[in-house]
Amino acid sequence: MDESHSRDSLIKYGVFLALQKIDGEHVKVFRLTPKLKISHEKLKFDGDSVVGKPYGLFEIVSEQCQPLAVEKLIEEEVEQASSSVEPDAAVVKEVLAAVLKQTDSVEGSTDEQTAASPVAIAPSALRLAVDEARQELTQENVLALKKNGTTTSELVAKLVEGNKAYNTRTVFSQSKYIKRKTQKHSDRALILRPTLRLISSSYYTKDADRIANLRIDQLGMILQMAGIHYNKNVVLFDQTLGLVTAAVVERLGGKGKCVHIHRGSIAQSIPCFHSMSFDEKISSTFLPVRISCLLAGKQLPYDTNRPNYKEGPEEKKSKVEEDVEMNEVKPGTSEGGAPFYEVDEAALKRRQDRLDSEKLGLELIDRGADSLIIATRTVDPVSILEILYPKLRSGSTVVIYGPQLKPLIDAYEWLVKKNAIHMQLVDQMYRVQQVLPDRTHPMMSQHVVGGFLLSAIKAIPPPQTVEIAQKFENAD
Amino acid sequence: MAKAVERLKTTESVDSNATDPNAPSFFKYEDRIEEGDTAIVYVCFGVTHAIVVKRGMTLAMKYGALRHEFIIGKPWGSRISATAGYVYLLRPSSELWSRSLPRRTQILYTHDCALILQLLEIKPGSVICESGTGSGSLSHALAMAVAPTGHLYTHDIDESRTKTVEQEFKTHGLSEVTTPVVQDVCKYGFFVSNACDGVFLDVPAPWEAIPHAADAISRSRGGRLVSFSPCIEQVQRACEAMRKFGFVQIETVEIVPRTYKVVQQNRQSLAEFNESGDSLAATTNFGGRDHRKRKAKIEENGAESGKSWTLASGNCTAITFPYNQPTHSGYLTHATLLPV
Repeated sequence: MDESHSRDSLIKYGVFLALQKIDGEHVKVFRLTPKLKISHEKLKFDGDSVVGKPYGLFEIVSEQCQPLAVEKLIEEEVEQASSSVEPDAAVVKEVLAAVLKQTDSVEGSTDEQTAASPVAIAPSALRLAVDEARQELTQENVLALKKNGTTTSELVAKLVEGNKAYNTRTVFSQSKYIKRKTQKHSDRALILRPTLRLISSSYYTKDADRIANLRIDQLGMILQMAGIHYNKNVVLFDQTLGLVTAAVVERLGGKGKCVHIHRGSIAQSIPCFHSMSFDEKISSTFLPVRISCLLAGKQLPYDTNRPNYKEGPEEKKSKVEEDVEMNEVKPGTSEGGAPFYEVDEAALKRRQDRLDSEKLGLELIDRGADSLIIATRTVDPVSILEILYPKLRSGSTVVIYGPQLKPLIDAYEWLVKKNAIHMQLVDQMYRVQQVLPDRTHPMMSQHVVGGFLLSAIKAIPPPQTVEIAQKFENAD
Repeated sequence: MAKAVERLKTTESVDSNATDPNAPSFFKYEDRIEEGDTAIVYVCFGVTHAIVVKRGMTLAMKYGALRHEFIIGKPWGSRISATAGYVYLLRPSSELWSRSLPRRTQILYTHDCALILQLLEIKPGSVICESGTGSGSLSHALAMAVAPTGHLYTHDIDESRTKTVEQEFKTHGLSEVTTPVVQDVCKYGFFVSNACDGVFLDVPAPWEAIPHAADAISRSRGGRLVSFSPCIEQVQRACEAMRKFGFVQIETVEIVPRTYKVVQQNRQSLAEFNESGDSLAATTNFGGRDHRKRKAKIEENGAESGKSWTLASGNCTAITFPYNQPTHSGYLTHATLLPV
C-alpha cells in the first residue's frame, strides 16, 4: 500500500491528519481509521466524513465534515473590515442581530436585562459570582442545540441572551465575550497533512514533558547549530518521541545519513517520526542502531528466543496517540495486518533490512560523522559523548539539547577538556502576541516551558592540551 | 533554468554514500582544506573571518598575519599558528557564515533564521521567495535548506547588494539553487507566480507585498508565509492584509535568546564569610585586602576568550552572560495559504 505522495491526493484511511480549529490553540495529530469519532476542543465529528475529500478547510454540521471554500473566510473578513472601527464588529453584529430576533419572538425575558442595562457596574464587582451561575443555558441545552445543527452565531446569540451579566459588561468586554464564545463553539476546522510545525506544536501544548519541553524555535536551533542539510552524516540520540529524528530526516531529503540510536531491538516510541509518513526515499536515510551494539562496540545478532514486538515496561501505551503508532511496521508496508509475533517471511526480511541499515549506521559512526545531536530528557549527555565524541570527524558540530541545565553544564566542562571550540550555552524566550487593532500585546499567559541548548565544534587538540586533559582525567 | 535542472540531475546520480569531491564549497566534506575552499578562520569566540583560500593571499587579524599557503592541506578543525597567536580552521556553515559575513545591512541572526526555516516548513525541494536579500544571512540558510532540488528566489531593490550576494552564492556553490533578482516586491510582485511553497518578507511595508505573496504561492500546493517586522504597527497592518487575502493560522511570535557562561559556584558558609569575607572579592581582586591563598587558576589553553577555568570541576553553574544582550530583533508573523 505504498501511498503516492502527490500533493493533490485526497484524505483516505490510514493517513495521519493534523486537526486545528480556526483560531484554535491546539493541534491534534491522529491517524484516520474507519469509524473514528473525533473530538477536539468542543468539536465533534465522524472521521468517516472526511474520507475522499481534499485537505483544507472544513465546516462541521451535525458532526459531518463539509469542505469549505476559503473565499467564505475572506468575504467575512472584508465585510468585517469595511463595517467599522470596532474590531470584531461583523461577528458581534451578527450575534446581536440574532439576539434581537430571539428577544422579539420570546418576550418577557427582557425585564431583567433592561433593569440591568442602565447601571454601569464595574466588572470587578461581578467577580464574586460564579460564571456558570450567571449562565441560564445548561450544558445539555448547548449540546442539544448543536445536535440540531444550530449555527455558531445563533448558538452564541443564545449564550449572550442566557448570560445575566452580559449587559453589565463594558463594550470591549462584550465583544471579547462574543469572540471567546464564538471561538469555543466554532464549527470550522483545518484538516491538514502533519508537518513538523504542526506535530511539534501538538505535542508541545498537550504534553511538553514527553518531548523534553522541546519547542519549535529550539528545534530549529538544533538543526541550524548542527548545520543539517542534504547529504550530511548525522548521529543522533533522540528522547523526544522522534521529533528531532523526523526533523533531521526531513532536512536530509533522502540524501545523507541519520543514525538514530535507540533502546531495545527496534526503534520505538517515535510517534512524531511515524506521523510524518515519509516515503521510502526520504526514510532511506534513517538508520536505527541499537544502544547495546554501541556499548558492545560491535553489531550484535538479534536475540531470536524473544519475540521482538515486546520491549519493556515503556511499551505500555497510556496515550491514544501512541496506540496508533506503527510499532514494528515500517512506513509504507502493510500496516495493522498480520500479528507481529508470527515470524513469517516478511518479518524476517524486515529484520534483515534492519540489520543491514544498522550495519551502515555503525560503519558511519566508526568512519566519523559530521554532526552529533543529543536531544535528551533523562540520559546524561556525557555518557553519550564518551562513546561518540572521539569518533566524530574534526570540525564536526555537536549540539546537545536538554530540559535541565545541570547535565548540560557537565557536558560543557567535559567538552572544554576535549578542547571543543565555539561553545555556546543558550536558551530563549518564545512569546506569542495577541494582534488586534488597538489591542495588541503579548498573550496574558502561555506555554513558556523550554530547555537549554549547548553547541560546540570539535577541533583537533594541540599536543599540550592533550596532556592537560589527561591530568584532568587523573584528578577526577 | 532547464540547464540548471539537468546539471542537478547529474549531481544527484553521484553515490550518496561517499562524500562528493565535486560538491560545492558549502556542501563539501573532504578531510583537508583545498585551494578555492571557503574557510572560517576562528580567532576566538565572537571573532571569525570568512576567507576563500588562495595561494599568495594573507589574512590580517587580531593574532597577526596568516598566510593562506599554510592553510592548504590542513585538516578541517585544526589549530594553526599565525604570527601572533593561533586560530582554528572551520568548515563553513550557514551559522558561521552569519557570524562572519561582510555586513552591508542589518542581518538576521541564527536564532531568527532557525525559527523562520521551521515556520516556512522548508525542506530539500522547496521553492522559496525572499525579500529583501540584504547581506544574505538568511538567504544562505534558505538556499542550503532547499538544496539540491529546490530553489530560492531572493529579491532586493538594491542592485549592488544583489550582485554581491550573487557572487557569494557562486563562490559557495549555491548558484544553481538560487536566483537573485533586483525587484521591488511591494510594487511589482515576485519573480515567480503560482509556483512557490513559501514566502519570506522582511520589508518596511509588508502589507503591500502580501497580495503579491499570495500570488507567488502555488495554488495547487498552498504554502507558508513568514513576515519579519521590528515594529508592532507593521505587524498589525500585515495581519489585516493576511486575513484579507485568505491566509489562515495567522500567528505573531517573538523570540529573545539568552546566552550563558559556565562559572564556578559561589557558595560559602556564614562562618566562612565571617572569617574571610566575600570569596568573590579574593578571586576578582576587588576590595584589595586579605588575599586568599587560592588554588592557582589554570587559564584554559585555547578555549573561549573571557572564560577562566578552574580545576574544581563538577562544581560549576551557569549565569546569564554577557550582562547586556539583544532583547528585540523583530516580530515574526506566520500564516498558511491553503491550496485551492
